[in-house]
Amino acid sequence: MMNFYMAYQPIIDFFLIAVGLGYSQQIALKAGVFSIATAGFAAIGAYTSAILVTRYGIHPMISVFAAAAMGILASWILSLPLARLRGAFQAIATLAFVQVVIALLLYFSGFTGGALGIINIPRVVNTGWLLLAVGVTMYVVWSLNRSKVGRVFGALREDDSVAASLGIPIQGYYTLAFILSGVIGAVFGGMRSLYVFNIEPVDFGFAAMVASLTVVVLGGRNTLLGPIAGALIMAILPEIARPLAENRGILNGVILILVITFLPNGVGDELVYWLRRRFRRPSAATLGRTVTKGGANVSAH
Amino acid sequence: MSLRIEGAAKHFGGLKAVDGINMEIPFGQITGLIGPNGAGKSTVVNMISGVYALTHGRVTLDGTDISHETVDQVNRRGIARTFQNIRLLPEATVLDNVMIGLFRKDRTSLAASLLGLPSAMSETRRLREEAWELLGRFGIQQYADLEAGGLAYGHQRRVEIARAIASQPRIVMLDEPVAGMNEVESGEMASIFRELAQSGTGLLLIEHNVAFVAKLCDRVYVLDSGRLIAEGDPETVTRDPKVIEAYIGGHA
Repeated sequence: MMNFYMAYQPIIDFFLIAVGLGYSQQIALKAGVFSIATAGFAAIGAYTSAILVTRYGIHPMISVFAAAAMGILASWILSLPLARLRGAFQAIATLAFVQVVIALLLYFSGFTGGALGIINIPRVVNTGWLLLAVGVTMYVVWSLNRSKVGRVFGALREDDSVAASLGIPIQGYYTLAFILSGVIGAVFGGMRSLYVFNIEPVDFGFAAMVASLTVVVLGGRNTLLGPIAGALIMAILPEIARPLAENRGILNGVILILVITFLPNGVGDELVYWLRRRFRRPSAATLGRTVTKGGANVSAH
Repeated sequence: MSLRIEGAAKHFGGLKAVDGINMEIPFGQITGLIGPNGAGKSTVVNMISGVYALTHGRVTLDGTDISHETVDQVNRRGIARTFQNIRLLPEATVLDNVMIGLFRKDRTSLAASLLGLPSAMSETRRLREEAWELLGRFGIQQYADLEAGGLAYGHQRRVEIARAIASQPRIVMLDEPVAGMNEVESGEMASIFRELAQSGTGLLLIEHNVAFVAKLCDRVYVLDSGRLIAEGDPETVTRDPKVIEAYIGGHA
């Protein structure tokens, strides 16, 4: 076990970062928000942490909390115009947001280091911290899945005008989805910058955006297992495809097409659904009741 | 103590879908709204529930003007509705569909929901329990764990009505609630509607089935081409020559 960890430690760490960014992406989709702004939030978090630590000598731990605060602020501002959009329009607008963030990082080169980015960031984040962050994120996602926010997100995803007709303030919950996505994205962006020594704008460009979207498409957009399964495939694939050398991208593409075609809910979600079908506890049993129909008591299964 | 519609009109460009109508939907009574296809019945529901902005006139609940409120605000005032073309959350289970109808009674705070506090989990259990009871009242407990979208038409209607009344609204607008049901099923629905009215809820029943409306309603309004052509108790209204003409067509 220890040997395995030593041999694959960088892969494990990047896997954990990918899982975190996957949850940022997933939580937006869970509420029916077609935001692909995660890479932009990650950039904001990463630069916040990196600038505070390298330039102002702030404690790295505090810099991650500052990154989280910036993530909340940025996603809240972004939600003001974008929570009103739907579907493809929202996707295109968030895509533009990511491009704007990168343009700003390049433009304010005195502050952000421009195209060269920020170098000499201390590496203080390790597997333990990443595990902690992933654990906390999973706990929050797990909790909301099982309570009010999860119920509302589900309703928004399936039909937001029905949700409104049931008294749900839909703009408020769309904003909440943006903010949750933003804070998770910024925290993992910040931690990433405290792991990789140096960051530059291109790290958070189109490729990063596609990467976190791929994690959710491969893994699943609903269940807690989704981003883990997706990130795992993304982490293992390059190792398996090593003999293909520069043609590795082909395997990525083929796997993605196969999953979308045959497991449209994603590998993780499909697995969880299968297990649920297998070991389902009917509501009646959960509630300790018998089913009543037409006055007669019919026992549940 | 009622929902009132005063001089309400909705024009779509040159089309006067609803053209200046006055209605009153009192609490504790069943009010019918009938009329031929395209008369504007569903438009009235959409005007009250805030989907359409009124071109003229206003809607008041207990004297408070609610004409300019959004769909969710109107619902939180205690005005619920169902849709003519059933709109469930198709991939959610039947139980979850009714649970989301309990949103207004959900006392979970945001922090409790995100941090998984015991209060959030016990609230989830309480609402599930309540949704389950409601399914029993509609005789659909055995479908609780099925995807709502896969149910038979009549059962989907029941789920939608259960969801609409889950939060005990003061007014419920039912858009063709027994369409696609047989006599026995519509009879079961009728007794649920009577119980609701007896418990103080005001019902607006929009129907094609004149017999069903006549049997159930305290007062009936008849809409044709966006105008009210008759109103009163069911016997008088269904014998009104103008109503018969609107339904059968042609000039008498």
